[in-house]
Amino acid sequence: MLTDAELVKAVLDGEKQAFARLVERYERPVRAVAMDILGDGAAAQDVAQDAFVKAYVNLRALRKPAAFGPWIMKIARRCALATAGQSPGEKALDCAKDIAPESVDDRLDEQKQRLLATVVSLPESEKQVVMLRYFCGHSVRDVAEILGRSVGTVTKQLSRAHKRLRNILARSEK
Amino acid sequence: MKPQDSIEEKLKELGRTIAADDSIVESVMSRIEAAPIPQSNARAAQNIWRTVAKSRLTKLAAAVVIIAAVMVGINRFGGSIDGSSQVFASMPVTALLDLYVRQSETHVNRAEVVTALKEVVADLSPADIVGTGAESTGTGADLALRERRRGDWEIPVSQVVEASDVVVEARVNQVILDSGDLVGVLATKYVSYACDQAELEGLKVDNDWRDALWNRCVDMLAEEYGPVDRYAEYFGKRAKATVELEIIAVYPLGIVQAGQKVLIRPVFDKEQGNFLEQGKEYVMGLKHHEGLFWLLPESIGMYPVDPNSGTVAGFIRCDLTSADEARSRTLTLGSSSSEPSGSWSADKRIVPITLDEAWQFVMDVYDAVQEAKHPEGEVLDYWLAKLQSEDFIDCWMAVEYLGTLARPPVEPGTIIDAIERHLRTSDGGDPDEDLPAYLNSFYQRTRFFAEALDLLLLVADEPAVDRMMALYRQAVSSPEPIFHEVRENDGDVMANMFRLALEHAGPERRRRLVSLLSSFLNVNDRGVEHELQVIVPEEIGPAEGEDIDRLAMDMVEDPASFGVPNLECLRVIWTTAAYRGLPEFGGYLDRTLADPQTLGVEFEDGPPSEAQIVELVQYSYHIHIWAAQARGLISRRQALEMLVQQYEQGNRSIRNEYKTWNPVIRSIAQLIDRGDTDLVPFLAEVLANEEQVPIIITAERMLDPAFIPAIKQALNREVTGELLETLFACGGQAEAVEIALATIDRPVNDDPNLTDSVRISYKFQDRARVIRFLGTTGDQTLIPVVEYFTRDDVIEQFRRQSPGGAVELQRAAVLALARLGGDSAIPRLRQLYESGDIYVRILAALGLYHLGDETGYELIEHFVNHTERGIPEIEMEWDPHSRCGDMYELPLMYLRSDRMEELLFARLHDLRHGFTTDAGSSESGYGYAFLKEHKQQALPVIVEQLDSKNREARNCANGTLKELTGRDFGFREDRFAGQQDQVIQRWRAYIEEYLARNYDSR
Repeated sequence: MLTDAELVKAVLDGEKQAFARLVERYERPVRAVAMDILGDGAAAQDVAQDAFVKAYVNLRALRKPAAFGPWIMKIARRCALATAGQSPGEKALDCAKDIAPESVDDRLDEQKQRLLATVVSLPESEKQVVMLRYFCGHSVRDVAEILGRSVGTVTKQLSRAHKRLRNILARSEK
Repeated sequence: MKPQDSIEEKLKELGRTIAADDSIVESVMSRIEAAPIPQSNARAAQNIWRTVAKSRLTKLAAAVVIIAAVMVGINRFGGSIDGSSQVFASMPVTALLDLYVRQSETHVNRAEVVTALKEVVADLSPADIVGTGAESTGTGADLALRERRRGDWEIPVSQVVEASDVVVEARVNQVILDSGDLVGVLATKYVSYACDQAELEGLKVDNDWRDALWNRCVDMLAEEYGPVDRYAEYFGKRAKATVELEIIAVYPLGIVQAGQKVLIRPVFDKEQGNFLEQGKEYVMGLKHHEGLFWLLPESIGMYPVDPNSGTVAGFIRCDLTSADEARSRTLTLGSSSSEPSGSWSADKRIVPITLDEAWQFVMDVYDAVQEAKHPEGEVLDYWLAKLQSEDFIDCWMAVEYLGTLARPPVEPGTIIDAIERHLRTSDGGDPDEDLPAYLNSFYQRTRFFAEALDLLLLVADEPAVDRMMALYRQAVSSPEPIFHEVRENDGDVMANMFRLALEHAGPERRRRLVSLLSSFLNVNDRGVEHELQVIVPEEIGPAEGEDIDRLAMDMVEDPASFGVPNLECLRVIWTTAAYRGLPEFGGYLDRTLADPQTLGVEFEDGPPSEAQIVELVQYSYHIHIWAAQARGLISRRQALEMLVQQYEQGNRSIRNEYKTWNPVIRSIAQLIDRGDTDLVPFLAEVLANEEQVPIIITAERMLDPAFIPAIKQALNREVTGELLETLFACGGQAEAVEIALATIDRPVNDDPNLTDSVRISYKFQDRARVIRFLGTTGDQTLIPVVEYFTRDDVIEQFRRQSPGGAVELQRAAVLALARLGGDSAIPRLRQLYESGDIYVRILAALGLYHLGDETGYELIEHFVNHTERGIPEIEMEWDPHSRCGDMYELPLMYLRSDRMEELLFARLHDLRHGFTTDAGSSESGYGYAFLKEHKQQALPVIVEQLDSKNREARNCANGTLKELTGRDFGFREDRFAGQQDQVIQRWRAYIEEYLARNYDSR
């Protein structure tokens, strides 16, 4: 499996199809980030597309190819905030109110929304492994390969993320 | 399902929901179809590592990682009182010892070994079992029963031999016990024996039954040994004993001679009722120190001899041959990776063995220990073979053993080979299947790495260091599995290693470690994060840490050139600078806050936002000021003024999800005292704005009518005794009493939906505080109100809601009554002194003494000289994890008077006995409360206890010092007295400095 860095390099070298692999790899995390802000699946789908297009156009601006994951998620966040009409400094927690009634089915229930928000608030390194592992369904070894990290590192980050999520969720339930 | 699984399931479920949408790949690809191909970015192609690797500093840093890791002085196994138990891992004698080593001294296969031993025990006839040590005085049936109960089992024979300076066979000529002690010991023993018998007969043994039995035993024994009326025996006697031994045989020779008589001070295990009996013979291990003999801790090391059969109980049966033969058998094991088998393990039976066999065992083990300390020839080959083994555990054991030798005769290359070999492997299974198991393997290898480096330092030469550096460089630059555990984890590893190393370091090693640590801070491309900021300020003084200070400031001022990867790392660096109390750091923060852009740093994910920088600066200001004050660099008043200034300038935020209070205000609250009246307007404003503040600005700290509106506002939210006291002290006396009376008229639990017993008990605790508040008003018209809650019939009504809470109300009322005083208080308190609740009796006694009545004086005297565990009722419900000190601390503070102070001052010297009593308590709670109030007098007394020959005393002294001062110099109570002079010196120096600094304050 090629790493993110290798895929980015391939795109920059002219292999446009390599970008499809990156989209496959990150579409769910990107959608998750957008959904956290917009609370709506359909809107998040649109924002995700915009984010990937922006990323492609600006791929040369990416200084560290290995950091494609965090980078695309940041772009998605900005796009989602723009869609929600918010400045980047604040989060559109209540934007779900404005969503049209017909899109209700695309919304997450309260519990999942809270979990998603918590995942998105994780430190970058942990957020990435959690999303790749659970949202994209990659094995730990695959996540390690994708990110160019060791398996040990990924497992440790996952373990820390579990602990952090448990703590944050427990506090929010009190 | 475990919580961990639960979160994983939730994440998976969320993932499934998110995945339900259609893929956007095609849409995206069609939209970018027409877009031009992005151009490659030249900067992105840079190989950062190549640049970094050329840096001399980075090379140095890598060396530091290697060398510092190696320097960790370790007591991995623990257990022996002189810290030398590592040699145990080296027993090159028998299979049994190998088995034992695996069971007790290492982290491996413990459960497996215990299971195997249990199977062996189960096969034996109970009549054949005599058992060992503290767990086995009694019949075979006793042992079998205890074995089933404990679920664990240990045979400390070889450990005893290893830890002893001398092993003797001796007759107990005389045991001098006082009757009070004897009653307690015998009663415990009888109760334990009777309960065991009852269980064997299939009877149900519950606490009531046990209590009744205890009372009967005490009464019965009292008849024989003296009256136990009001526990006078307990109060008047100290649980001390002296034993005279007549030595029959001894090994090794020289320390003591056969025929000689020696006195020892045994430590009896009262829980087990196990003690030396006059006229009997024992084989026992003794520690010899400064001309005195000591029995090993607790009751291990006493093996009874039956003179009729000439046997010793408690040793493991072995078909002993000569030491040489045993050794030669072992030596053949070196080439075998399978579990070695020898004649000692062929018959793993626990039966009495002959005295000859026992002595042969003792001598063999003793010799083996000596031999293990100086291995050579085939013994050494055996361990070198293990070091080179493909088996991770074998290799790790060899590393641990060789690391205990002063000059390990091993080539550095062999150690590096071992590191490389075993860090490449991982047998933790599939992380997708079992993450905890995988992580366990992960951490094992991290520890192995640290220990192997420790060993390497002892023998490393320049080529070895170069090779290690190369390996480390490879680790940092490559995602290959080698070192992968360490690569991301080195902050933790390093922090722990430095802590350990500094703890054990002598002056020279310490100097080198500090130097290495300063270099380590200068590491590029790795997160200087985790806990370094804790180690550096606390462990290393300003003078020796000069290099660190310089480096810390360099990193603060130019983080970009140090490759600081993220905001968290920068926070750690700033915190380090703050805790070091660097004066120039304050100026730097000023400049940065004035213009956040001057920070000029870019992280892995881009530059930090201005808001992040501001937040970080504000946080650092707070830490900087607080730390400077704590280190004595600025005065309390200066710190206070700086904090107020920061708050007023709006520098009050902190990014900490766990804290609900404002940390700047909290620091201010900790620093203010009653003399800071100029701050009243400021604090009044703060009180109105910060919800948490009224709780932390109490009547103890600041009084002013200006606070009344804010306090009343807080009381509207929640009525607490503390707030009422504050309101009262600030001038709102009538209002405070009115609120309190209205509160106690209401039901304690006014929420019909609240059924959680814990939360209900909290409500009772709150109510008890309100009652205590009434006691502080000095208004004797309130006596009937308070007295009402001392009545058993009233408390009985509350008991239905919360048994524990009801008792709290009564105890609070007893205290409040004593505080209010008055004509009716003394007779009522005398009545309460007859209560069946020992705690009510104690409080009544304290109350009476406070009012000048001597009725309960004997009880108070007992607390001052002994510990609360000396009282059987308390002993019976003693929870080793809780601290009864609070029980006495509150009354002491609440019923403060010159009379009480005078009593405690007079007893200051005697308070030492609170630390040396063998009643088993960790501290005298009453004494502790006093110590806290009078640190000036107490600290020099306590620090002397660090040198005590009594382990418990050392433990208590260290714990108390840590609690009183908030410092920890790494004292280890399990080291024998005299072994930690340096740490004790550091404590003495600190306390001297502390006393000098706090000369004017109380």
